[in-house]
Amino acid sequence: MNEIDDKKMELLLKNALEEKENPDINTNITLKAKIRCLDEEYAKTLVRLFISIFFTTNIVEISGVILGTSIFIKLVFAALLVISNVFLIVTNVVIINNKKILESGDLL
Amino acid sequence: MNLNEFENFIEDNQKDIYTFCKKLAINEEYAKDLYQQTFLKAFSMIESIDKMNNPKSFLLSISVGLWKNYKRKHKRRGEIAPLVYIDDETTCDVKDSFDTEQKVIENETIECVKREVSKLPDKYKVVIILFYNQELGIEEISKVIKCPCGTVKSRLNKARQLLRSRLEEYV
Repeated sequence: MNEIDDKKMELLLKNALEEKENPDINTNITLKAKIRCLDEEYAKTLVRLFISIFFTTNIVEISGVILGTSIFIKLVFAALLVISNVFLIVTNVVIINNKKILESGDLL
Repeated sequence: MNLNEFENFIEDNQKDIYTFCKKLAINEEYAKDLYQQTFLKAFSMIESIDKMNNPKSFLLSISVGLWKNYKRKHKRRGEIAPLVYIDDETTCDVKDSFDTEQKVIENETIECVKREVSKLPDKYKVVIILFYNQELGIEEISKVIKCPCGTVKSRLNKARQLLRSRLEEYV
């Protein structure tokens, strides 16, 4: 049995572990395709979410305007309807613009 | 960071992350999976990537986290049917070597060290790979594995001691 001193040990470990290698091209292509799918899925989910919020808030607020017992409540619901619609339209436009920017980079 | 920038980010770090995953993983297929999962997770945390503040450590810490989760999930499976570790193909270019015997001995020693590193307990294996393969300092390793610097130092020493005792039989 041979003694291994600190210096030799360092050298052995460096020699054995220093090499680095690149992943094969297929692994990288698959990875990039997965990232693109993930990105599209994320954008789709966001658009779906905002569409559902858009319809739900509209239904609630229109019902408020129709069924409101006093003119004050009707006005409050009408104001909410306008504000929420403007907000949702602006956020949807921002999302669609971001998606277009993301898509403009040809990942593959 | 947009998709193009993220693609460049992958190109910049692919070599380090793939090598690290391959050294940690039990087989090549899992190494590729771990490599891809690391970047997919990084993509989902795209806003947290700070290009100026050592993104390699950030990616390595994701890899370590995913690998720990995998090991935990597959612990029971490993007890029933142990997985086989990667044994890199030993290539020795005999034709170009002037001193064939010396070359064979060197290659055998390197393979032996690699095999013994892969057999180390997980907590020692990670620090050894991060220190010698990824060339990280003690402080960086402590950030990657989320442990104090003292723990990293003691694990590194313990790993060296274990390896020394095992390698003295071969070398």
